[in-house]
Amino acid sequence: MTDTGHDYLGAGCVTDVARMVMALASEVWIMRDRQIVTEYLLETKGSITRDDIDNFVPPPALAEALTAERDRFAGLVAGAPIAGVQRSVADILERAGLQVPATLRTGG
Amino acid sequence: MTFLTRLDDNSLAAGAIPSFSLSQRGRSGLELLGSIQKFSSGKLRPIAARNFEKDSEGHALAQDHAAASPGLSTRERIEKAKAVCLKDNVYRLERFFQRYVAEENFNRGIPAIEERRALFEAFDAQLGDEDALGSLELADGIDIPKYYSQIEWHLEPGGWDGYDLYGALFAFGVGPMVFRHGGYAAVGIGDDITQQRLKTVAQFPKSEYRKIYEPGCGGVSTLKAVHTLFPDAELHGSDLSPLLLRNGRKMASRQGFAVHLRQADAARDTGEADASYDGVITYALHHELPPKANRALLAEMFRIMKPGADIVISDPPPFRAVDLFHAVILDWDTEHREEPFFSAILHDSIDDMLAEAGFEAIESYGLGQGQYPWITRARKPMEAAR
Repeated sequence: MTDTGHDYLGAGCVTDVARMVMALASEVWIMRDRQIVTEYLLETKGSITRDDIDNFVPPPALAEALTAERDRFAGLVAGAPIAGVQRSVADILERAGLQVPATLRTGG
Repeated sequence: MTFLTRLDDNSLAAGAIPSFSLSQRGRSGLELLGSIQKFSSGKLRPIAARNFEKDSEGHALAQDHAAASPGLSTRERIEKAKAVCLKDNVYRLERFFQRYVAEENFNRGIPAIEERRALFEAFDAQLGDEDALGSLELADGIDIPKYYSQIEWHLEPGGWDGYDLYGALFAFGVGPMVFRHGGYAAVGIGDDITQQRLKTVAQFPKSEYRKIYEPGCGGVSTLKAVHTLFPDAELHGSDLSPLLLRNGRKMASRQGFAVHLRQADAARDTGEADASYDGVITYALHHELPPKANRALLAEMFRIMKPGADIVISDPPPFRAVDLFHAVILDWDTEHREEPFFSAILHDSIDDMLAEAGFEAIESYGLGQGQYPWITRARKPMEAAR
C-alpha cells in the first residue's frame, strides 16, 4: 500500500466525514431543485426574477416529479454503501429511477 | 407542538395555513430530509432487520424474546441484540441517518422559518388573542419540574419554548416535509401521525362525550382529532409550555373550534374539579415522563374523571409487544434523540399503572405496523368515590 502520509482524521472521525458528505449532498440537491424550478418557470413564464424562484410553490404535477427525482437522489447518496453489494440488474435499474421489467422483478 | 402533515388537507379551514411558502432553499432542504428518512427507514432498515435475523446470535435472541418464559431479562436481551446490530454497517448507516435527520430538522428548519419571520408574524397577527375561541389560562410562577426544564426534547434547541417560531416550524416545515413520511421513532414508514391520532380517538368506547380532557396537549393536534370525531364535546387541555398553549389555541381558532387550555403540571395538580370529565385522552405523553410522574399523572386523571368515564392512551408499544429488532430501534431513541424516559415506559406497564390508580376494564393493543399506535384504555369504576 502506498504511504499517503499522516492519518490526520483517524477512523473515529468517520461520522464527522459522513455529516460533511450529507451537508454537501444537501447543497447539491438544493441547487438541483432550483434548476428544475427555474427551467419550469422559464418554460411556463418566459421571463422570471429571483423572487419568482424563491416564492414558487410547485403545482401538483411538478411537486410529484420533484418528489420522484428527490427520492432517487436521496437513494443514490444514502444508498451508495449498499450499491456495492446490491448489484442485480433490477437493483441497478431501480436506483437509476427506471422501471424494472416484469421479467426481472424478484418480488423481494 | 401543532403537527400538520399535509398542507393540502381539504379538511383544514380556509385561512388555517399561510398563503406564502418557504423559500426555495428552505423548502428543498427540508424536503430532502424527508426523502433521506424515507429511504433510511423504508430501504435500509428492512435490510438491517434481515441481517439481524440471519445472524445466529441475533436469531437466538429473537427466539428468546418471543418465548413465553424468556431466559434473559428484557434489558439484557436488548443490550445483547444491540451489540449484534452494531456489527452490521447497514444498521449503523440507518441509525446515522435517523440521527442526522433529527438534528437537521432544526439546523435547517430554524433558518428556513426565520427567513420568513416577517410573514409568519403577520400571519399570526391576523388572529388577535381577543378574537380567539375558547380560553387560555397561563400560570404565574408555575413550578416547572426539573426533568422537563433540563431536556431539549427530540434535539429541539432550547426545549419546547426555545424558539418563538417553533409552531410554524412544525406546522408548516418539518411536519409536512419530513414527518409526513413516517419512519422515525415508533412511527412506521409511510404512516401519517395525523391519521394515527384519529384512529386513537376512535378507541373511545362511547359514541358521545360531553367533556374531554388532555394532559400534555401541546399544540392541540390531538384535540383537533377529538373535535373531528366528537364535534359536540367541550375540549380542555393542559401543558407546561406557554408557547405550545398559545400556538394551540390559535391553531384551534383558525380551524374553527374552541379549546380551553390551562398551563399546569398535570402530574401534580391540573386545577380541575373532582369528577368533572367524561373522557381523558393522552397522546405520546407517557414516554416523556419519568415513572413516578406517570403514576402521579394517572392518579390525577382518576380524580378529575367522573365515575364511568373512559381514558384512552396512545404511546409507543412496550418492548414485550414488538419483535426484538424493533425493540432495539425503539430503545435507541432514549440515548440518541433526547428522550431520556423512552425505554423506562417501554419496560414498564401502563396497564399496571392504571390498575394501581383504580381503573377497571383495562385493555391494551396495537393499531398499526410495529404495534403503533399502542392503545391502552380503561374506565373509572361507577362505584368509585368522587
